[in-house]
Amino acid sequence: MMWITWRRYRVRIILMALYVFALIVFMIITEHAYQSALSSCGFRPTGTQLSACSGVISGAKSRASYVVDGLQILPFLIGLILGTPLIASELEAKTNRLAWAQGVTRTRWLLMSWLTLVISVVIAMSLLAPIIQWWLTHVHASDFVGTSLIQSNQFSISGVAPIAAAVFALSFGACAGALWGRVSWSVAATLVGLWLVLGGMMGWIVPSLAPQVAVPLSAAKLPSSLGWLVSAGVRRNPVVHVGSHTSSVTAIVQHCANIANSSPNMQSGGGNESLVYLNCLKSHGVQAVDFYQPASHYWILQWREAGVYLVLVAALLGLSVWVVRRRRA
Amino acid sequence: MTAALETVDLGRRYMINWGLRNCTLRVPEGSITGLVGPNGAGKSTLLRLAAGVSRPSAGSVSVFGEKADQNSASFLARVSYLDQDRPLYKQFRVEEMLKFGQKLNASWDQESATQWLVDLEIPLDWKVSLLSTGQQAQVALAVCMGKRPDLMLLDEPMASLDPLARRGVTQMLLDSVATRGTTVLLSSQIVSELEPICDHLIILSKSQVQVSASIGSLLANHHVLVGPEGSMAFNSVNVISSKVAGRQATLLVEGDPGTLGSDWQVLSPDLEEIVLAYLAKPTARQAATSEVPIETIDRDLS
Repeated sequence: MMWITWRRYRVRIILMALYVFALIVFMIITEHAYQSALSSCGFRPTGTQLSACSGVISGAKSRASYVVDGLQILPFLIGLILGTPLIASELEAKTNRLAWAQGVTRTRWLLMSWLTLVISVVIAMSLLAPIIQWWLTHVHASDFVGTSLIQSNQFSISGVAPIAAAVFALSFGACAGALWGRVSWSVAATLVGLWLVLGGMMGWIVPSLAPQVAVPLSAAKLPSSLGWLVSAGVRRNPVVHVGSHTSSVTAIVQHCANIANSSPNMQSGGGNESLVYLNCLKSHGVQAVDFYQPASHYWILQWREAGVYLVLVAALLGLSVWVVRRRRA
Repeated sequence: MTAALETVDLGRRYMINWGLRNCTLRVPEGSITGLVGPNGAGKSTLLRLAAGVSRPSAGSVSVFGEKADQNSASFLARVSYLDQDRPLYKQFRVEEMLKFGQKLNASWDQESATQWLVDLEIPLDWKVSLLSTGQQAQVALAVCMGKRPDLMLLDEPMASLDPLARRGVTQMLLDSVATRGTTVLLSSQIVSELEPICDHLIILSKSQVQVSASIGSLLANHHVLVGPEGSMAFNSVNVISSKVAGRQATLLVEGDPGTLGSDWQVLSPDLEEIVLAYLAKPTARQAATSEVPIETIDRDLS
């Protein structure tokens, strides 16, 4: 059974392997170029960053962003190239009438085909994961003090969650193929579905998988190493009481924003309007805060995100089996 | 003798139309049964239901007493099915198609399947997509045959084959029945190619079974009566067709016409005449459609 899946998918698997290989090569090249550029401009990791290096760093990071893009579309490629044809191409070419009439049940046929592709994907992603981790810490996150991979764009491509996301994308494509039965429709459904789920996962679900830390906002910029800035907000300070003032937080925020906007600093371009705003809030017993996922939550979030994906994979696989068992060939 | 395939009030509906309806029949074990009918009569639908490819909308279908279901390993082990579209993995080589069959079937006969294709001079190292339509049909048949099933369901297996290849397929089916006791149900549009190999015949028309009987009993129970027009009252027979030319009437009847007047001639029709008469009159029914006699099969293998 595994041989049959390999034989059916070998061109696609090889194409995906070449893509992953190209990403690895590009990561090695960009890391080497980045380190060379830094040493040529006299950068010392422990010292203050030289102004001469800022152009070098931004140029190297700009090139490196292509790798990040390439890694971010990897689940989509897996879903589209490996997932959608698993069932849809069989139904479209009517080869399911041949395959399902052989000596293995539809359930076993689907599970074995799926498992073969899952093993290929997991092996590829597991090989890729430490290389991504190495590359991110050397290039993409290297100008952060106390480098952290929890920044959202790095979090989504590093650790164990991308492996689970890849399996999810594969299963999503396969399930779409079972439901729609046509490759073109399944591709469209997979594109939209993955965009929604993967986007929703990073936007809403992952940040809430562990308790967030609220950090009071000050006019000074907070270091990025603090963690992943999830959202900004305000909270009423329970200690401070300003007379019998009972305005709502929203009204206070609006009031302070108006004051900050009309302040002399704002009009003269002085740049201290945020301090005016914060002081205004403080005087009304309201505190501006940023909500973070701290760097220490990196692995908790990674494993929990992977767990969510695996639950979704189980649901999609169950749905696919149900559809395939009932489907008219 | 037990039934290899049995259907009871079997029906399959596609949206608002019935592809097959009220189909009750039995295919005897060890028989070669032909399935004929016009386009859209329900032949492919019946075969798909029997193969477990489709699910019935009504009634039931069982194979060797077991419900036809592709989710049952024991059912799949006993049945092979050749779809009328001859689906094959076009990017596979011929030998890989045989390996496909080998990997998926415990009882696979690699030697016979390979020899079958070698005898037909089909290059094993060619991609399926490069083969002619007839050669692809032979590869599909080899995959079907190599499984060594107890029941072969073949949807128009002779279509797109040249006369020599048809003879080869016919011989292969006869050998399979003789050596392994395989039951074969095959559909065709051409009655003449079924007559030499089939011992049972099912005629489908307008999604319903018109006839289901052994060929021997069909030939024995049907007669052509030729006589003067105007004296055509027959109570003891089932008139399937009648035509009048001038003052002479010709009738195809089922049943014993008894003793007729001297101006009547009783002739024996051939199978094609009987089939065409039923197909021309879809409302005609065999006297007892559901009661197919299951009898000992004596097949001349010469």
